[in-house]
Amino acid sequence: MTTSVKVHSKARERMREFMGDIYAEVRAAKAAGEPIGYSTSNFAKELFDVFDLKVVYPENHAAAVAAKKGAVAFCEKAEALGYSADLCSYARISIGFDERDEDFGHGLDIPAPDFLCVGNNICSTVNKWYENLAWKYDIPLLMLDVPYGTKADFEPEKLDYVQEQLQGIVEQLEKISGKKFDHLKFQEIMETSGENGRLFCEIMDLIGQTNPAPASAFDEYNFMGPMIIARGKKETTEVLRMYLDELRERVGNDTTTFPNEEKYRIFWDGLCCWPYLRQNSTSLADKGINMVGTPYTGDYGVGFDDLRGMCINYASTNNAKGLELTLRSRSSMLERYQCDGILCNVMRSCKPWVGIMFETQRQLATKHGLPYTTFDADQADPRVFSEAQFETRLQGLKEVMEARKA
Amino acid sequence: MYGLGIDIGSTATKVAIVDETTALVGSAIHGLGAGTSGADKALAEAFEATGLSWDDIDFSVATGYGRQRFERADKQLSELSCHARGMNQLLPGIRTIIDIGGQDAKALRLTPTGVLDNFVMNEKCAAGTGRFLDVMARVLESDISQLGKLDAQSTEVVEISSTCTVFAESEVISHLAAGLRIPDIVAGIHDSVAKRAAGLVRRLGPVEQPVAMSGGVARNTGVVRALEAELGVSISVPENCQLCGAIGAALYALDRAR
Repeated sequence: MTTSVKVHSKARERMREFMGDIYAEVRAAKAAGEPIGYSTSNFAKELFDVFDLKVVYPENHAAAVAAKKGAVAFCEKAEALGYSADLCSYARISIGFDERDEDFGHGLDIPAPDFLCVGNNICSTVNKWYENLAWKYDIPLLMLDVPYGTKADFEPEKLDYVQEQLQGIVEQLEKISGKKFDHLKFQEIMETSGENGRLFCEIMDLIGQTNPAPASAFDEYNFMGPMIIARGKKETTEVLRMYLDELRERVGNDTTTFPNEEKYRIFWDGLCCWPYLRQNSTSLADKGINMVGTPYTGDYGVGFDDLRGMCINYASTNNAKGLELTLRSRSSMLERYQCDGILCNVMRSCKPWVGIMFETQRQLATKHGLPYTTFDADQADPRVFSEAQFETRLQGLKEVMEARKA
Repeated sequence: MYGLGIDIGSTATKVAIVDETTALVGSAIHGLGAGTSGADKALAEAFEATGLSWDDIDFSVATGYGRQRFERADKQLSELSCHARGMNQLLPGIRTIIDIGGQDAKALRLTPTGVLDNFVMNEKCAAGTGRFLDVMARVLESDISQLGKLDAQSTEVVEISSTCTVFAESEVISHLAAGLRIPDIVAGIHDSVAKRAAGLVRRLGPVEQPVAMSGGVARNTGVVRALEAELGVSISVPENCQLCGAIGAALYALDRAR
């Protein structure tokens, strides 16, 4: 019998400390006159560390602002500027934040950018969002164009195309930083980044493949943070190893931080719902439902050993994959993680993800014979969530899973 | 031995009481839903009609939108399971249920033994729900209960293209201003509701027959007509369609009482 325990996670404490340091370093670098970048979450981030460039990741930042209940004011500010409420809430929060009248606090105040790096492997809204920032500040905009993966396997010519763009990006970063590209340093950062991807994958699999799980995959949302903003750093390796040790210890002594008996295991499709993380996780736990896997964090659980592997990693993001690649990765997780059902966050403002969500779920439900349900929400805009709707659908899903197990 | 089910919806409260033979011995429907005195009034009506009191009830189950705030119930279950259970009692063998309630619409698939197997619900929008029909009836200066009769008088259906309740209301007003016949507009409204509900049913996969409708909107023969045409299947409506969820809840309560 697995015992639920409350633990003080030293890994989490260390992670918070060093994540806070990163935002402080960005502010200090700006004050010292260094160029500050804004980057999408899955740009070729390993290159920034080669040039010691300090970079902010607005999606991660917007999620943190939303988790601190700051989303609505900034969304409304962006909407008042003329941005549609149908646009990505990360974009609206970030655009509104950039226009803020006073400090936000929580260690999240960030300086304006001096250069921008956009990868369209997460969506195409980011192109226009960053173009507008480039226009506003009259600053360079670097782009990594990742073709959509329309087939069942990664196509070599598309990977060649991604890889060939890196040379141009390196040359532009040399100009921005005033430093020459250091190949040995890049190799070292690549090794760290590849290792961090493997460690993150190990964390996901240890939670997903252990039955009952030693934790909820809600934990992964926290540890995903360093993978977004510090993937190539040794501190991330340190944090992930600490957390992995904690998980292994729990597996060893048959304990879990999931606060209830794990009766059902579900897969969560879509991003998480940052403003309602606690409500969502508590509601699941109260019903004995443990979320043991999600493709959102899966974006960061890809390891690699060389430049080609890195390109595959950045072509593997959720929104760069078409239906066939998506089904393959989701199917693998559902099987390996022994899921009983699927819960889908129909994120109103994340069009590329939701665009294939219903067909993905229809095919997964048919193939795996699993029940699934959807709820209307968003990743960061709290105005689009209805607790009553979430509760009814989750309870319905639980009752179907219960009936199928009976 | 008595089991009581109370289905506290967004616009109405339904109560059902079953005895140890699963027979429905008492029921009430009150036109006030969650957050109102509807639950108390519906219970009072059901108890008055049967001569029973809360003390006679061995177990109770609450369902519907207001279930979590009704603390007197011994247990609460989602309306999804309750509609499935209730329908299996009213019309055994039904494999697909379409339930259009006050603020949501859902399609349920049942196993051959009548157990809820899967479901799909509407988006967070009033389009295609009972509320949509309420708004339309008001614009047409009709009573909601008359929409079915008006639908039967239609000779040339007017298409309502907007799914948004607010925009559809404007569209209906335009059609009225243009002098189009009310029965034809009503039929168009029903077709619009049917298309939304049929979309939910299709998301469950190939339509498993036989199909039935539950919920208050099932009493509207126009919606049933439109849904049959849209899905190309025959749809059964039990006499106690609006009580379906409450009856299911009462049967679950009886299980526990036993």
